[in-house]
Amino acid sequence: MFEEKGNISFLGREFLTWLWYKSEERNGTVHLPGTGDVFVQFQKQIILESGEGEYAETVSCRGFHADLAEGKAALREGKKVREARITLGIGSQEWEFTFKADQFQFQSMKLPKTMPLSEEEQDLEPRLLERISLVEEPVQAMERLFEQFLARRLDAVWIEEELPSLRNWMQT
Amino acid sequence: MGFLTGTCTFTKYRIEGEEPISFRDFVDERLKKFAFRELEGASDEKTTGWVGLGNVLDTAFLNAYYSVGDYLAFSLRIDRRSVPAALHKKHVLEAEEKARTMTGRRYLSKGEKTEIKDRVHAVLMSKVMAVPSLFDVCWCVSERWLLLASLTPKVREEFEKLFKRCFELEPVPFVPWTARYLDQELEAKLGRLAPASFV
Repeated sequence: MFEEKGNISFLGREFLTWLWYKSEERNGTVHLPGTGDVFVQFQKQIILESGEGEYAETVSCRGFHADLAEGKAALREGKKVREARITLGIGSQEWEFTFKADQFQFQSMKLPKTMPLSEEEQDLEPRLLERISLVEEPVQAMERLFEQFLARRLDAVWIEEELPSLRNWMQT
Repeated sequence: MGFLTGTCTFTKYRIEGEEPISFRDFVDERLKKFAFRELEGASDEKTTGWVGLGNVLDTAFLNAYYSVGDYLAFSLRIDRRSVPAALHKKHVLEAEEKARTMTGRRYLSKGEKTEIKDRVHAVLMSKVMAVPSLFDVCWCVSERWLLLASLTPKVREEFEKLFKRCFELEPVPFVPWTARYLDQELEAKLGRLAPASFV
């Protein structure tokens, strides 16, 4: 199904599919300019889709024993990743969240474990400030990963290097 | 699931529009003006308003404690009440039966049936308790973004309406490929982009 002219919402699914490939290219390590290496791992909970609305065909791989090989088979049928459970590591901290590609949304985000708060710190202000900064960090990282994807997507490197590598990875 | 405990689910917004001078005073006045008020009319199905962060009862916003560092943090409260369809149906059948007995007729007109349905609905609505739900809001004023702890389209719609009316600023859902977040050159390039085939 073709997108309407000017509707570029397909970029969300292309980004998430590319991120899956990128996360496996260097065993989970993706370089993020300005930050360094971040760790990205797709968990066994992934939804792939082709088409839209009543023409949509969806494949869902879920559960601890789900095999992401099924997901790759769906990619080979032309589907792209619509949502996925992702572990993201920055420095020594780790987040886990469901990322919804169509609207760039985050669901059920588990924040890194932090030191237990002292009695004083259990007040609203320090607790909120700490948690909001922990929420901001993965959001900004995902935005920068998208910028990285977009730069490559709009460059000749997409056709020359990125797409052939991604297609090779899909066959593995 | 708000921002203070547990896992976080949220929609990110960019805030557009001109903030008034004395913004903090303006926020204080508006939060209080648009604070949550209990459902008043017997037939009201829904009401919305702001309350203190995670505190369903706090509509006073005393001492500006919603101001946390660079952030403004409060919650959207939405109260809804509805009559379960099965309950409504049962009471309508009873009322229709009573009307037939009283008039001695076997059938009621379409108008009479509609009137009974509406009357029964109004009576039941006046007896039903409203169910409150809270959705945390965290607004980073200096960077003009905001997080709303919900992905649900209906909740987002209520939030966007109330926020716009209250603060006279527009919350725009943040999606990084939206034209308003791109420079002109990038926007033109993206406009020519077609979906890639990965196969």
